[in-house]
Amino acid sequence: MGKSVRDLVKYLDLRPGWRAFIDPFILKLWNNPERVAFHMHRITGVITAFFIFIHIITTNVPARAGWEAYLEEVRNLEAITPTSVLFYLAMGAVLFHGINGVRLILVEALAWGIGRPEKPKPPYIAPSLRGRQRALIHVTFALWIILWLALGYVMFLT
Amino acid sequence: MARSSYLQLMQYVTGALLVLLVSWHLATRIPWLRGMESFVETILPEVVYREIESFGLLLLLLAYTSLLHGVNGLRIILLEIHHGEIWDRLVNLSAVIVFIVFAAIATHSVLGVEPPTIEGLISG
Repeated sequence: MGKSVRDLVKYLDLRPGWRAFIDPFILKLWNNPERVAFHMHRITGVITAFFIFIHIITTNVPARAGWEAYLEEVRNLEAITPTSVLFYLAMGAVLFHGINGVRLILVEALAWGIGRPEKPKPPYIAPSLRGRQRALIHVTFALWIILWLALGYVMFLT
Repeated sequence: MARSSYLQLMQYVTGALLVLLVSWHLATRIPWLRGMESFVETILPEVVYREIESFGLLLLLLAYTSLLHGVNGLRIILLEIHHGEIWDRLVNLSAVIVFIVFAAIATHSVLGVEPPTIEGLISG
């Protein structure tokens, strides 16, 4: 019994590398927009996935409890409420994940902006940290902020 | 489970499809594109019901695609942070169950909805 519990505890212990996902001292984000985009894609992906689950449950309200119950939900989005703020934050995650996803499809799936293979010469700078790829990451962040602000205008100021 | 290379390809394909579907879904919430004045007007019962009636299949496609992409994404992260045969099976099985449950809820949302009644809206 004791052995099996010890085995289970040992089994459930996550491998040491998992800290790399959250430890800011290991992430090495400074002057590395590609790393920032990678971790933000992960974080916004998790937020978006849970938002999808919640959105599917809340949009089931008219079929499950009727339109009166749905109207109660709509009222929570009418002004600046905790629900509408959380909704807006989730929308930010969806927007970043989508825009960065387009960049990833261009770079990873269609090999856009990768350039030709070259001999490694010092200083060793990865292609993702210079040239067109770096510019594309900056465009991604700029587009995200602009669209998120525009969405805030539509949600809260109309 | 399918080969992981196929699942990664599926992640790209569903991702590309989602860019189009989510853009359309968000565009339907922009009031000026629909001749309305506020965001809340675009989510009122009669508008939402009309949307479900006209674009029910497209909304279902959006739900299924986003679930496939989201559940597979979470599965990938969970498989990366920990290794082990039992863990792998547990994560893969959970992913399938979560997909089926939420796909069923989404299907019920589209197929099981009744038209909004005037009495209900007035009392609401």
